[in-house]
Amino acid sequence: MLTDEELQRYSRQLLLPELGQAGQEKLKQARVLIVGMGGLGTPLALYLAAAGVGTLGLVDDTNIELSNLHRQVLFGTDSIGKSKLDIAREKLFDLNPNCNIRLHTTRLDSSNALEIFREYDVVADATDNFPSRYLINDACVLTGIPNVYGSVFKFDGQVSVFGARDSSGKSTGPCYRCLYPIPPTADLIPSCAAGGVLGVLPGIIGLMQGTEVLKIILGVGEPLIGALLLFDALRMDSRRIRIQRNISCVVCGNNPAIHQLIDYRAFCGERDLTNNPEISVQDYSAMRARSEDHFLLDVREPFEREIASIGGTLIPTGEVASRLNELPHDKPIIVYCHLGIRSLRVQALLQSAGFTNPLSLKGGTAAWSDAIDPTVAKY
Amino acid sequence: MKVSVRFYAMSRDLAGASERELELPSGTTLSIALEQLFQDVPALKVLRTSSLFAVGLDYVSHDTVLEAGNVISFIPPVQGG
Repeated sequence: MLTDEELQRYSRQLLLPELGQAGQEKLKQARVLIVGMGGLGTPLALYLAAAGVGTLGLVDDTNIELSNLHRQVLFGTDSIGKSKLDIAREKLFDLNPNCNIRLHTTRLDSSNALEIFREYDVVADATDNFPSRYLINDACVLTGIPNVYGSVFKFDGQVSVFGARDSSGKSTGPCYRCLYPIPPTADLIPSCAAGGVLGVLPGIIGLMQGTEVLKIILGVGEPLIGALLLFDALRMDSRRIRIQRNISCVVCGNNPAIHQLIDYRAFCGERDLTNNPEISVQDYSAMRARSEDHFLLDVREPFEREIASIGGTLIPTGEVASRLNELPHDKPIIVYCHLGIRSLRVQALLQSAGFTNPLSLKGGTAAWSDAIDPTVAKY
Repeated sequence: MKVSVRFYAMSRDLAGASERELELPSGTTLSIALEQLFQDVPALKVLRTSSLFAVGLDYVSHDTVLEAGNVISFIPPVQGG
């Protein structure tokens, strides 16, 4: 039964004959998992909580960054550096205290996905990388849970519902792998961090996902099962492409080869960077003391540079691939960032682009501040 | 006959345009049309195996015979969120 408060809160949607009190009850009983609290996940969480979805699970393990705020409007400037999930819970509780928010403060991987998914009725893929997209697809097919998929690139978006089944458990539409059986070459397709995205776009696509989640729970309309919606903000055009299940699909086909989750980073060709060449802050400090010729490359964002710097040329990680012509081939390049993680990725990129002996500064400015020069601010 | 190709996401960047026309003999299949496209715009080849192609509003097999005026959609995978 809906309470008086709920009747008032949801009155504008209760008026819809397709919804009504019975529909609102369905929403109250529903358990929806949103994987990724970024540009897609934040508007999705806001509107699903507002609509009265009873249980909303959120998966993410990152903190809020300034560069998130142009599209992740759930968060505010004073929350920078704080856990996305903690702030999301605060904001969503304020919006609708009836919604039970469950936090999964972890990175979804093959070891935890099935267990987490089994607690939910619908999963929304709001992640930002190919390994996660294949992982979520396979985990949804294996658990029989529909996957409401959305993704964005610059001005373009895609939405679909994958892995849908009828009440007898029979597949009624394709999965992500039916469309994209072969992942793209690693590092070929930029993420939002590397390729950029118009701030409103994930809002539009995230809310299209939200619409599909609500339709699936309510059993109304025609969800994007067997259809891929292509949204093009530059033309302000959307097309619904009819897609079919691939009967030889390795995960949802008639004779599937995949019965359990695999290593999705390896499947997508991501390299393990832990053995890539690094230089310690001590060795680099000694190199500087000897005035050895080198090129120092700072791959952080400009605002980080203002906080702390050990010099060098600033090219943010996402811009390096398109600015390789600014880098020298005749001397070693030392790459640094805040903690030595982004710099490892850039090191790998430079190495594959044929630069001689690029090195990543282990531990970044934080290690430099600890071991070499405490006047470099820690942040 | 003329068919056009609409580029989405990364393919638009690589093609340097949002749309491109192809002049093909009648009876050409999607697979042959794509061969010609990759010859005309070699930069697109990197997306060949990982992309989805639709004709009109349907995802079709590569041996589908095209008709004049068909619109091929070039739909690479997109990962951002």
